[in-house]
Amino acid sequence: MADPITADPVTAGPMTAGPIIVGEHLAHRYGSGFHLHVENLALYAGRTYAVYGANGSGKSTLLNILALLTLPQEGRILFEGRPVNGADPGRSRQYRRRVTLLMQHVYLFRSTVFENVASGLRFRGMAKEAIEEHVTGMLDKVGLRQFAHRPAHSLSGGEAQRAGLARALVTDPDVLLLDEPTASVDAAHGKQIEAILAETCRQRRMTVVLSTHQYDQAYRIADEVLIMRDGRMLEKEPENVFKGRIEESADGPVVHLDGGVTLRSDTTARGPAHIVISSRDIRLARPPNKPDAANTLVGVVTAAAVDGDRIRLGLDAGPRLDAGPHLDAEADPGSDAASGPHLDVEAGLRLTVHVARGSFAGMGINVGDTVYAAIDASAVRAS
Amino acid sequence: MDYLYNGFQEAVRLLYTGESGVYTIVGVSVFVAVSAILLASVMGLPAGYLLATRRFRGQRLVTTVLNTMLAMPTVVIGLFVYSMISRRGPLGFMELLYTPQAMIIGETILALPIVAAFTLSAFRAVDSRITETALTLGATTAQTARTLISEARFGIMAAVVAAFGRVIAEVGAAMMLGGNIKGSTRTMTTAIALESNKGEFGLAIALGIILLLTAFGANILFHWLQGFDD
Repeated sequence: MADPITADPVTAGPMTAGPIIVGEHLAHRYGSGFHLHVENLALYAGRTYAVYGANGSGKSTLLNILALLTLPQEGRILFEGRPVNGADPGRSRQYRRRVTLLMQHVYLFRSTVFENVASGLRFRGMAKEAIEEHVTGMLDKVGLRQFAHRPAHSLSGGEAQRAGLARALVTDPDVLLLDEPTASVDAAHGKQIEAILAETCRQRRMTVVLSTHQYDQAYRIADEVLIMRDGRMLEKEPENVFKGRIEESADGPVVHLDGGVTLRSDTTARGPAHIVISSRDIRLARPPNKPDAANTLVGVVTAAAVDGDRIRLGLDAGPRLDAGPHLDAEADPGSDAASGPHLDVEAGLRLTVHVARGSFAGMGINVGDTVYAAIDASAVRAS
Repeated sequence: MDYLYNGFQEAVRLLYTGESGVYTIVGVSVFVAVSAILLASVMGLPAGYLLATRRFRGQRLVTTVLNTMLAMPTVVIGLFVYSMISRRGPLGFMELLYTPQAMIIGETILALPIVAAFTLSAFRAVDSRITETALTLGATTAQTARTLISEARFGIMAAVVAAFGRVIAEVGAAMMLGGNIKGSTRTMTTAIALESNKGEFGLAIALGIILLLTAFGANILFHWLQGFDD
C-alpha cells in the first residue's frame, strides 16, 4: 500500500473502509433565492444512492457540487478523507478524473460516436490501441457498436444518452454521478440505461449517485435513498419535529401543533415547545383496519424508499388530504370522540414514517395509498 | 452590346493563354490576401476566444469598438495607413508605400475585426455545456480550450472565410496603399477598376471570373475542412 503521507492526495487508493466522498456543511446560494444546505453527506464505495426530490429541490445543484462543476460557497468535499474543493486546480482535476458526472441533457461533441466515447481517455493520454479496445468494448456494452463511426449529432435522444453514459463509464470512474439519467428518454431506453448501470456498476464496484424525481426508480435502483426538499437533505433527519404548544385539557395534556393538528400526549411539559414524534413510533394500517391508539390520523403516502433495513415513507396526514369520502366518514372526529383522533378540519402534517421491511411487505402499501397513522400518546414528546 | 460579347471572348482567351499578366495579378491578390488573413487570424482568433471566455474590465467597450470596426470603410483604412507610411508619416523611413507589404498592413487591419468579432460570436454561440462536459471527463484547462475550439470550428472558419472574402474583393485600400503597379501591387480588383476605365473589358472580365471562382473555391475549401459533421 502507498505511504499515506507521500502518496498523491487524490490518486492514492482507498485506505480505509470509510466513506469515499464526504460533504461537510455544503452550502450554496443562487441569486434566485435558492439555497442549498447539506450538513452531512457520506457516500460509501460500491453503493448506489438515489437523490430523490421534486424539481427544484436541489438535486442538480448537489450533483454539480459533487462533480466540482459548481464550487460550493461554503463547506468541504472530502475524497477518501482529503479535501478536494480547495484552491489547487490540479487536485480538482485529479478528483474529476475519478468522479464523473453525466448531465441530464447530455452534450455530445461534434464528432463521431467513437470519438465522443474516446474523449475522456484521450484527455488522460491513453495509447491509441488501448483506446480502440476500451471504446469498442464499451460501445458493445451500451449497444452502440454499429453507430461508432456515425456523427454523434445523428443519434436519437435515447441513443445520445447511452453514448454519454458510455463516455462516462469508459473512464472507469470510482464515483459516477448521474443527473436524472432517464428523465429525457422514453421508457424503453430508460430500462436499458438502468440495466447498463446495474451491470457495470456491480462489476466494477462503482459508487453511483443518481438523482431522480421518480420515486419508483429511486426505490428500484438504489441501496439508499437520499431525500431532498427545498435544498435540504431530509434523509438524516428521520424524526418528525414540529413547533407547537402543550396545554392541559380535561382528558390530560394535548399538543396543538402549528400545522393545526391537535394530538394527545402524556408529556409533563407545558407551554410552547418543539414536539418530536419518532418516525419509528408511527404505526400504519390500511383501511378499513383502523388501529387503536390515542391519536389516529389519516394520510396519503407520498413517497417510499429503502433506508437500510427499513422502508421510509412520506405521509401527508390530516383528515382533508385526499382521504376519499369513505375515509372522511371513518375519520369523522364525532364518531369516536372518546379516544378521538383530535383532528382539526383543514389540518395537515407532513410525516416521515419508518416501517420494518418485513412488515411493509405484508401491508402492501404503495405511494398514493390512503392509510391510517396511529401515534400513541407516549410517542408525542417535547424535545 | 458587342463590346461585352467581345470582352467575354477575349477573357476566355486570356485565361487560356495567360497573356497580359493575368496570373501575375491573381498571384499578387492571393499573396496579399492570404498574408493578411494569416496575420489577422494569429491576432484575431485568440482575441475572439479571450473576449468570449474571459471576464475583464472594459470588455463591453472592446466588443463595441470591434463591432463598429466591422463597418470601417476601406478607404478610411487606406487613408490611415497611407498617412502613417507616406514619406512624411511617422513610418515613412521604412519606405513601405506602394509595396505589397503596405497592402498587407491595410488588409490585415481590415480583416482583424472581422476575424475577432466573428470568432467571438462563434464561441458565444457554442453550447455552454461543452466546458462542463470536458471538465467532467477530466480535461485540463488546455484540453478544455481545445475542445471548445474544436466545437466552435465551423464558426471560426466562417470568420476566416468572411474576412478572406472581404479582403480579396476590396479595392479602396489596395489602390491607395499599393498604387496599382503592374507586376508588383496590381491586384484583381485594382486591375478590374483600371481596365474598365480604359475600356479593356477582356482583362477585366477575365479577372472578374477568377475573383468569383476564388471566392467560391475558398468557401468550398473551408467547408470541406470543417469536417464531416451534420
